[in-house]
Amino acid sequence: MNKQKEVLAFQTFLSGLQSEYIVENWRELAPELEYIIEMSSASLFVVQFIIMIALIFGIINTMLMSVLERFKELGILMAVGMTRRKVFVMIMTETMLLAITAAPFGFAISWLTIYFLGTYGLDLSAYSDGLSQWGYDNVLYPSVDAESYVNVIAGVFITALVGAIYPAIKAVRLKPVEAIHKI
Amino acid sequence: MIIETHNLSKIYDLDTVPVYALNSVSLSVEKGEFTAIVGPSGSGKTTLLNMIGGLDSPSEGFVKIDGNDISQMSENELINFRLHNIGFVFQSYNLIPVLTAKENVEFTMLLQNMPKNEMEEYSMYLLKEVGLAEHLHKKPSELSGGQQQRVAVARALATKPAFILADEPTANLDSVSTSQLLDMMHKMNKDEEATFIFSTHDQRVINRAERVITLEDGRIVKDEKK
Repeated sequence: MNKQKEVLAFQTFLSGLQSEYIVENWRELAPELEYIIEMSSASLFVVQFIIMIALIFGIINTMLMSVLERFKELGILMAVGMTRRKVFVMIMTETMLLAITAAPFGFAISWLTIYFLGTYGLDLSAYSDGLSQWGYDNVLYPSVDAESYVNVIAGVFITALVGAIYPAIKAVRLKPVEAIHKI
Repeated sequence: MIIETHNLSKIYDLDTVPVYALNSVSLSVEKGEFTAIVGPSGSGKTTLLNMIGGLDSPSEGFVKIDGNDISQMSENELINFRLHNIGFVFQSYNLIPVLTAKENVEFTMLLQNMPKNEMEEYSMYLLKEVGLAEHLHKKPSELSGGQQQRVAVARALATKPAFILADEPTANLDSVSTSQLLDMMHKMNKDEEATFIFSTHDQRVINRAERVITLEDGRIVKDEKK
């Protein structure tokens, strides 16, 4: 039983059946394990944050290269009448298209990995002594809920947009006359 | 449409040793003129064209087009002004490499929000006029230099601009392509009443111009009408 409310309800139910027994849930039996799990969640959040920061730099690098490579082209677009707002929107749209193309691949790889491990398990019997002390099984079956996928995908899109702002500003600030005569 | 420049100067390194790319240039160009700006390299031809086209700002003086001082316009106003009034032809063609000849011509019309039918019709007409009806769907890399420059002229004319600025349009072309391009520009000048101002030091182009303005060291030293 994973949900805290269900566990507590079942615990109360069992306590009511046989009052001479003490019924405890796993959190009460092994508070240190709960602490470790909470720490793991916190460290996972930190890791996710670091990955998002790395993603921002990745997007900045990719889009900045794209802008610098097309410096002359962007200069021509502005010389012949493309407004700065349109150039900005174009760069942001390109970034979103990049994210739309890449996100499903990442999602698919992640889902397949979790599905495979969730079905066949991750055999950690080599560490069985240590795991059993904490009440873990030798074979773990990881799962990721839909909410986590949605959060990560939304995070990726927001990060991509944030990462594209600097290259887009760089693009709109270029002077057509300098860009056109660039060899 | 009258283009006027008044005491137009472009000075670099104002704080140290001032270098005059343009020095008090005053001129006016009337509608329908076919004008060449000539002079040796470094005489200020491109700088003058850039300022008339609102691509560069003067250090002193101003540029007025139909009485509007474009030197006072904001960057966005200038972009909008260029879109509706000026066509550009660059020395190195400067077509958008990922677009076909037709798409390159249609691009500026798209920015003008021209209806699709009108856009299709006019781009086909222009590309036919410049002799590229067979090459509509070719990308710039599949066209010769002369053909690319003709696409550039068609693109410049696409927005029905008041005038066209061409910066050494024949510099990278062979004699046959130069002759074809000049014939075509002359035809557009007569048929469409398009005003052409081009910089050049190509004698073949100078011979075809109706007015020749000679620049030296940023100053006008000769202005003759044929």
